Amino acid sequence: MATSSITDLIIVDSEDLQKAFDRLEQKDLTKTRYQVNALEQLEAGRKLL
Amino acid sequence: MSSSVPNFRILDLKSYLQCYSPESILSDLSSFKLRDGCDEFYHFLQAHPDENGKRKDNFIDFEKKHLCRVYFVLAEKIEDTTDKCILKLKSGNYPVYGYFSISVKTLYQNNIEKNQEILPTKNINMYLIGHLCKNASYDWNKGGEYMLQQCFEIIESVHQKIGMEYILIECEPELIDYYSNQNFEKIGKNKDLNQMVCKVTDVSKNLKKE
Repeated sequence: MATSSITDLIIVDSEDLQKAFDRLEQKDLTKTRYQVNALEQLEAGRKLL
Repeated sequence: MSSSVPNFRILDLKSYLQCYSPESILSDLSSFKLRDGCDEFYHFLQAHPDENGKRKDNFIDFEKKHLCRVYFVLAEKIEDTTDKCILKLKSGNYPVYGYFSISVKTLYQNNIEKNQEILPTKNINMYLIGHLCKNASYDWNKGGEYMLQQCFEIIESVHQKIGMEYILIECEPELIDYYSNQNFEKIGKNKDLNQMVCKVTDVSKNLKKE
C-alpha cells in the first residue's frame, strides 16, 4: 500500500467495478474471523498515555 | 512471538500527539522493521524528499491534515528494550507490533475504453485502509489477519454511524491472493498497486473468539 493511496485520484473502470460488486454479492462468506475487540484495545491504548 | 494471542492495545496517533511531541514518535519508530520492498511504508513513517527535493508528507502530516487516522498496535509492556522498536510512554515501554491508517476515499468510475479523456463520470465513497503494516521483527503468521480484523472493527463502528458500503485497499501484486482470501475482490490497478474492495457488512460475519 502506498502513501499516494490517501491523496491520489483513483479512477477505475466502471464495468470492472460492477463485476467486482457482483462477485462480492455472490461470495460464500464461510471464512471464520477472529473477534479482536479493537474498540476495547483502543480504549486500553489511550490509558497508556 | 508465541502462538498465543498477544494482549494488544491500539493507540491512536491523534491521542498520542495530544501528550507527546511528533519528534518523540519519529525517534521511537526509527527502528521499525519493514519487510523488504516496502519503500512506500518507509516514506509514510519518515519524511523523505520527492524527486523534486520537496519533503513528502509522512504519517504525522497526514494525521494533522485530517486526511486519515493512524493507529499503532502495541504489544505487552516490556522491560528489556534491546533491539526492539518500542514506543516510550509514561506508563512504560511498548513494542510496536504494527500500524494501520483508515480514511475515506472517493473512487471515480469511468469507462476508460470508451473515453480516453478519463473524465470522472460517477463516484463512490469508500473506507480506505491506506496502510496496514506489521513489524517484520515479529513472525506471528496470524498477525496480519489480526490487524486487518482490528481495522474492520473500527470501520464497522463508524459504519454504524455514517454508513458507506465498501472498504478499499491498495496492495502489491504479491498480496492479491492474501486479500482475496480475506473476501476482497480486485477492481483495478493504479500505477503499480492493485485496488481491491470488500463489503463492510461482510467483514464481521462468522466471528469467533480466540
